[in-house]
Amino acid sequence: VLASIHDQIAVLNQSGVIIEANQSWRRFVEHSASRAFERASVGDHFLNACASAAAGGDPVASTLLEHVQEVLGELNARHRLEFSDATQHGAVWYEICVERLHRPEGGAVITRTDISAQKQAVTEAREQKQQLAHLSRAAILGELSGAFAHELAQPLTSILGNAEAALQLLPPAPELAEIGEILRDIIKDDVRAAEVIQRLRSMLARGEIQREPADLNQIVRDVLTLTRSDLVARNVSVSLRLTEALPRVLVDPVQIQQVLLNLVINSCEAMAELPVGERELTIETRSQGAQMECAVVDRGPGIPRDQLDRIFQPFVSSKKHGMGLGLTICRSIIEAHGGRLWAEAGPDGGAVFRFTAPGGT
Amino acid sequence: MELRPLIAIVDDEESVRRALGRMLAASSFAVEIFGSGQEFLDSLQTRRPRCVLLDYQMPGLTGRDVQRRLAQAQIRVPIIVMTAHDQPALREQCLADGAVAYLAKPLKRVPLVEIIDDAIGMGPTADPKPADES
Repeated sequence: VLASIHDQIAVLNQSGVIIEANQSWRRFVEHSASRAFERASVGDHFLNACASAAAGGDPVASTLLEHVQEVLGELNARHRLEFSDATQHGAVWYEICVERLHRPEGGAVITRTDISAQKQAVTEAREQKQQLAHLSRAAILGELSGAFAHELAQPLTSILGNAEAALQLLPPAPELAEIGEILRDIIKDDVRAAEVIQRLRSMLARGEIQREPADLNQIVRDVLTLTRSDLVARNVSVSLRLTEALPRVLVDPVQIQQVLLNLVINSCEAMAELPVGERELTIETRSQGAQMECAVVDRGPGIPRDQLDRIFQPFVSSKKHGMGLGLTICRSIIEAHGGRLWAEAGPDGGAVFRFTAPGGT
Repeated sequence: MELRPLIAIVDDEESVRRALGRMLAASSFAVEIFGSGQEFLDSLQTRRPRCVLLDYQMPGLTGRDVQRRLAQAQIRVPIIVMTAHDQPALREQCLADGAVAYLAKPLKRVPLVEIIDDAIGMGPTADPKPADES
C-alpha cells in the first residue's frame, strides 16, 4: 500500500529511526532532497538528522524536530508544517504531516506532500479576484467621470458665456476697469476648471473606445478563465453554445469583457438560492446579420416583466450591497460600441441578458 | 431690417442657452434660442438662421437627429455641434454628417465667433432671408 502512494511516507520507531519508507520517499531522497534532513532514509535516525540540520540553521528542520518530538512523546497526536523550497523551476511547496503511529510500541508516520498546485491555485484565485475588482472599479470610475464631466461642463458653459457677454457689454470707463478684471478672472478660472475636468476624465476613463477586430467567442472564453475560481466557489456549471467561425466584432475587447464579466457575476448571484445541482449558466454566441449577439442565460428566479427595462436605470439594485450601476454601465458601454443590451425572460424561467456588437474586420 | 446675422442656439438647459445667447448677442449677432430640437425645426417654417449652434445631448431629438432631419429636408444651415460629453468618435460622426465644427463645452467667445464668421461666409445660405433650397 505504501509503495503505491504518491505522497512520500516514512514510518519512525519510538526512538526516531526511520524503519520504513515508501518508494516516493526513497526516490525523493535520491533525486530531489535539497535540505540536509531530507536525505534521511530507512535506517537513519530522523530526529538526529533534524537536530543537526536545525543546528546548521534550517528553521524548517528545527520546527519539524519539535513536531516529531511532541508526537513521539504523545504530547500531540498530529502536527502540520508547510514550507517552500526555491528550485530552478520556481518555488515548490511542501506539507509535512507528523502523526502518531497507532502501535503498542509507539512511533510516528511522516507524510510529505507536494502542495505546489494547491498553492498556485490559491494565488491565481487571489490574483483573479484583484483583477475582477480592478476591472469593475475602472468601469465605474470611467463611467462616473464621464457623467461628472457632463454635469459640470453645462454650468461651466453658462458661467463662461455670461462672463464673456458681460465683458463685451462693459463700457470702456476707467471706473469699471476692476469689473473688467473680475470678468477676465472668471473666464480664466472657468477655462482652468474645464481643463482640470478634461484631464481627470482622460486619466480615469480610457476615454475613447479603442476598437479593434476581436473574436467574441474568445472574449467569452477569456471571461470564463477570469471567473473560473468564482464559478467553482459558487458551484455554478457553465455550458457554452458558441457559434464556430463567428465573424469578428469591432470593439474594445477589454470593455466588452467588463460587460460580460458583470453579466456572468449577476447571473451567478441570481442562482445563489438554487440547489447546487441546478446552478447552470449558459453562454451563447451567434451572428444576427451585421451584428454579433451574445446571450447569458441563467436559471434563477427571472425578472418580472415590468422590471425588464427598469433594471438598467442607475441606482436600481436588487442586491443588498449593490450600487445599482453595474447594468447601467454595461448598457452605456454596449451602446457606445453601437450595440444593444437588454434583458428577456428565459425559456424555462430564469433570465437572459443579450447584447449585440457590430461585426467588422 | 435685420443687419446682424441670425444665429440659432439649441440647448435643453435654460441657463446655458441664455448665457450663450447673451455672449453672441454681445458679439454683434442676432440670436434666437430654442429649448429643444423640435422647437428649432418648427421655427424653420418662418425664418431661417445663418448658422445653428446645436447641443448634442438633449432629451427627445438629439443634436444628431436634428442634423439628420435638416439633411433629409435638404435645409443647408451651417451646423456647429457643441457637447458637454466630448468623445473623439462623436466628433468624427458629426463632422462626417456635415457639421462645420464640433466644439467641446464650455465655449470661449474666441474662437467661437471666428468659427461662426467662417461658417456664415462659406454657408450656401449667405442671404439672410430664408432661401429656397429646391
